Amino acid sequence: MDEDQHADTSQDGQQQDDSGERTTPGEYVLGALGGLVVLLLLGFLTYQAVAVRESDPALSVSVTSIEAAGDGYAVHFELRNSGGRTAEQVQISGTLTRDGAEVGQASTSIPYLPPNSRHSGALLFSEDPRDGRLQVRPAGFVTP
Amino acid sequence: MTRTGSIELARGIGRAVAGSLLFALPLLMTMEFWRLAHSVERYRLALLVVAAVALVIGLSRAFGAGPGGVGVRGYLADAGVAIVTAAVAATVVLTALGVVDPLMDWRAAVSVVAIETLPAAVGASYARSQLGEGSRRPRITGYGHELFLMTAGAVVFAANIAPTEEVVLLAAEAGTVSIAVLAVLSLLLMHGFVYGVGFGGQERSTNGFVRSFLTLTVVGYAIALIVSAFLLWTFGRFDGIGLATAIDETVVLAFPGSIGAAAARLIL
Repeated sequence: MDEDQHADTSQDGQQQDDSGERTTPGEYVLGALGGLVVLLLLGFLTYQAVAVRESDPALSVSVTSIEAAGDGYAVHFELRNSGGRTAEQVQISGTLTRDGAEVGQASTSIPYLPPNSRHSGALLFSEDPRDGRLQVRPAGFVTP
Repeated sequence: MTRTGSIELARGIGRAVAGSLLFALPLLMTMEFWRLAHSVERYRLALLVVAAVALVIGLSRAFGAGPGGVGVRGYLADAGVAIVTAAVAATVVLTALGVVDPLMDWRAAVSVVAIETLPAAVGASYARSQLGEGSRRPRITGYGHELFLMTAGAVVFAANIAPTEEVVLLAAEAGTVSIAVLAVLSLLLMHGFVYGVGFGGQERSTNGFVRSFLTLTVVGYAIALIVSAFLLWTFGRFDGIGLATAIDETVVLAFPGSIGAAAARLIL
């Protein structure tokens, strides 16, 4: 490295020269860590390509709690994707039937759900969902 | 390690964090980019990782970084520092924003952090080399270096736009004439930026207009097109569309790409 260029950019001259032109051990350690991160990442992507990403999305919904909310009732649910691909625009619909007649219907959508992930939300009903038969299910999705 | 050495290292890392946020925040806060992390085919994402790492190494080689870093081991170490810093910064920001929850969905988190680390690493390596007082000035010059600068600039600008739906929308709605006009406009702006409007770092066209236009502006635009096409293909924007639409999308994305390529020649 030529001295001129170094002098021009270094403001605190003397202090710089101590460590100025050598890569410090600390930088080597971090640098090696960086290389390791890249290798692990490529390994992870290979693993995903080979092992995980084959199957279609497999969605399941479970109702976690039902409570009064505002003027009506909120049915909190958790959506899981145990499949191997991302599901996009997942529609969740819930119907409430009492004595064979449908008394409430609610739906919502979740923008995207990667594999092995979960996402929670709530469906809102005006009738009490604890009284009657409540069915919550994923109604459809789009694959990317 | 000496005390000044560790102080310099810490300050270099601080600059890298700042640089990765400056470059990557727009993408850290773009929904399409999080989705792409999951939906992009794994081999394409792996290729993108390799390309980004090559770019970071190239930046470290061209400019040096931080206090040290002479020679092959030096710039490889610099690139590694930039990548680690970028990965940590991306993880912290994405967790703080609630985009990823590393404890719950680690696979999803790794995918998102991985794709977000790439622009952050480019920013980190730029900041470590260019924004620090202890950093070295460019010592490589020449045609190859100019082309590399333009590639880096095109990547930085195009990467911010490539994941968005707007590219697809604009290409779908634009007619052939608008696409042609956009291509000409890109070329004129590129040339004007570097030679015309008197920014600091402006270059004099020493070999005459025609020659500098052909060897740098046109070639730079070709680089912007290639970079744009690669990014669009990686993000699956070419899947299931015709060649004409693919070209339209490439020209649309090459517009910001070419501005970035021209700006890089002025700034870097």
